[in-house]
Amino acid sequence: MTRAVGRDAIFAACAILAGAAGLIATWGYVPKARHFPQAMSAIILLSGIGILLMGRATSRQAAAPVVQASAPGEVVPPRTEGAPDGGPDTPLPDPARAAEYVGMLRGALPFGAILVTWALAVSLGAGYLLPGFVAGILLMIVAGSRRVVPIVLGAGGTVLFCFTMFYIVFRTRIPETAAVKAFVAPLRDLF
Amino acid sequence: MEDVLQGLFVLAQPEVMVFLVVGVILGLIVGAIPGLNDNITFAVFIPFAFGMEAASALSFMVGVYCSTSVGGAIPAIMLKVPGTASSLLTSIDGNAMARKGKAPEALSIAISSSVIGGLSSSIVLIFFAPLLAAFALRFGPAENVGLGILGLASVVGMVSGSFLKGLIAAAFGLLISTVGYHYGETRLTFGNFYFYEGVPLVPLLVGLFGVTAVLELVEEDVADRFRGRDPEKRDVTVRAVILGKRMIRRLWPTWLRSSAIGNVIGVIPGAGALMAIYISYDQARRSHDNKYADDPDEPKFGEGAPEGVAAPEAANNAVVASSMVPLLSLGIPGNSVSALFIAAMEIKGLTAGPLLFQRNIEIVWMIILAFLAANIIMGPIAYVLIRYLIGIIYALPRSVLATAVALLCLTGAYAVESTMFGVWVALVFGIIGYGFRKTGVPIAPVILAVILGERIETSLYNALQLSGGNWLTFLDPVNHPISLILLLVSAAFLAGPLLKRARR
Repeated sequence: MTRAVGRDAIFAACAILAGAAGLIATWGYVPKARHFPQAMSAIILLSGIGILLMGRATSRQAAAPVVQASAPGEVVPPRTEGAPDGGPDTPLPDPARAAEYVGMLRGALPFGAILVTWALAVSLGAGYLLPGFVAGILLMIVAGSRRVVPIVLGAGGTVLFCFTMFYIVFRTRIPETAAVKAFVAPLRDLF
Repeated sequence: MEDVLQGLFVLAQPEVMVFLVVGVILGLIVGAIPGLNDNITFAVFIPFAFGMEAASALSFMVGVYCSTSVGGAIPAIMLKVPGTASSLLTSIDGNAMARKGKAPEALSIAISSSVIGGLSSSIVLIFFAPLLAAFALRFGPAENVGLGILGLASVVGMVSGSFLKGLIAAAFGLLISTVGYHYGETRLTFGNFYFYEGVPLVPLLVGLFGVTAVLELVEEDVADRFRGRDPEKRDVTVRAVILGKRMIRRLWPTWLRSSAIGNVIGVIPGAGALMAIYISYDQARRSHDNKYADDPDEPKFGEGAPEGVAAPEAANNAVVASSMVPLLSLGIPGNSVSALFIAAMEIKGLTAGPLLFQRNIEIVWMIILAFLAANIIMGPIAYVLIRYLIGIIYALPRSVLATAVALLCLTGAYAVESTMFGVWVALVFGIIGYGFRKTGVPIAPVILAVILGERIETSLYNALQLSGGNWLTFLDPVNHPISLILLLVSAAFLAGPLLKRARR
């Protein structure tokens, strides 16, 4: 199974589950309220099945016996289960795919996890500036910064900029603790 | 004429003009940073719109929208790294010119072409948007259903890759639009009262555009380091020159042809800038090959031909203002960026569509004239500031950029609702968007469907009620000819790419 087909299979499975969940969740609604969301859920479910079937067909085609150009008429049998691995015909790992995988595992996923942790900390009442500063430091490290001074300045500058622009200049709300809000109140009154 | 003057009066206010200029400059900067684009800028900016006047917020967005593609041409030409997706083809001939020592000329061609393409589309917007809006006022529920389906069909039909994935994306967006209290039921709220008014649009957009993009940016940088490349390494010696008369005479036909292509495609919802760019690039290649096939001194297309820079840049900016024609007149966003315009307008209590021309005509004309003004001021600003901007941009580490964009997005999502609910919506949709990108599912149909969903569903039920439950009312050539035409065009949009793929 190729990587693209594997991803399609995962996506199709998610779509089938989401479609089925949509159908079940809307089952008990009054007719006018349920027709439209049920139609959309059905489209998602059926399209997911379609992607799954197409992926299977692609996998079968890929696994079919291949005719070698150098030996006309000679059919190379598909590799049998348990055959020795690592011979000269074994493909080397694709460096582009490996880099993408590393980018996802060491970049996007930890970055996302830090954002979720930051949101949790703010939700639990830790304020805005402190969790923002800590998250900023961690985010910059994940994003590739290694020098201490730029990390501290970057994280501090970013969180202060956000706080100043949103809370002080544009006077929107910020989930900051009451003590900090009282401290910066005179500044806010300037705008 | 009075309406135009009202719009001009609003635009001429110093604060509004300052935001327009700031938008143009920021668009140049953002476009020049590979990984950032106008979508992210808007995702970060929209929450700020709460604290601003509608005219200032919208003029800022017009400025950013117009100039981002010019900024995107800079790294495309200098580094062969497209700053935005629309600069992809510019990088081929542009970078070839730069390697031959013609970087200033290539940059100047990119700027001039963008200005000419942008000005032409501003003129299209001035003439076509009011006409189309006047026509759209005749639309009833059946026609509104047809229009909504046309918008979705054009996006789903034209997305590259799997048709089924496009369909799932559109259905997913429509399903999200049903969340909330409708028709006596609290649909898909799962008992959470924050969902009673539906999924909040701004945090959803911030998640799908901002959070998704920043996750991709970090992934790219980490992957680059793994490959042994330094994503921070940039050439900062960039400047532009004034084009000579001979070059201008040479490029006129390309500018006109590419602008025309961009304008026609820009008006079609969902067609997108990329299609316009590819078609105009192909046309320029054919014309160049015919003209210079026997000239040994002339570089081949793809190897540094000036037309290879002029065509995609003119087409790209011609799409910008013309994509606002369906948005302003019909309430249908032409692409994902104009969908973000709808979000900003909704924040300010403005509803895009024909009624906007009746209720807020001064804002409509302010937007239209802002496109014209932005394109006029963009050229000189780009010429003068280009080298200073690049120096600043490339001095800022990408890790700081990623962190700043992420925190700005999430803080903005909080500011919209003043609750952490907005932040969680942005995070969830950011993760969904990232998953969609990894599996090749387009995000544009989701956005369009979320925006159009409620209108389609309400109009559908109203049309069925008026016709006594007759589903054929949408195809009635006597009473609803417009609906019939719109549905036939929708079918063509969906069937065309399918037939093309089946033939392959």
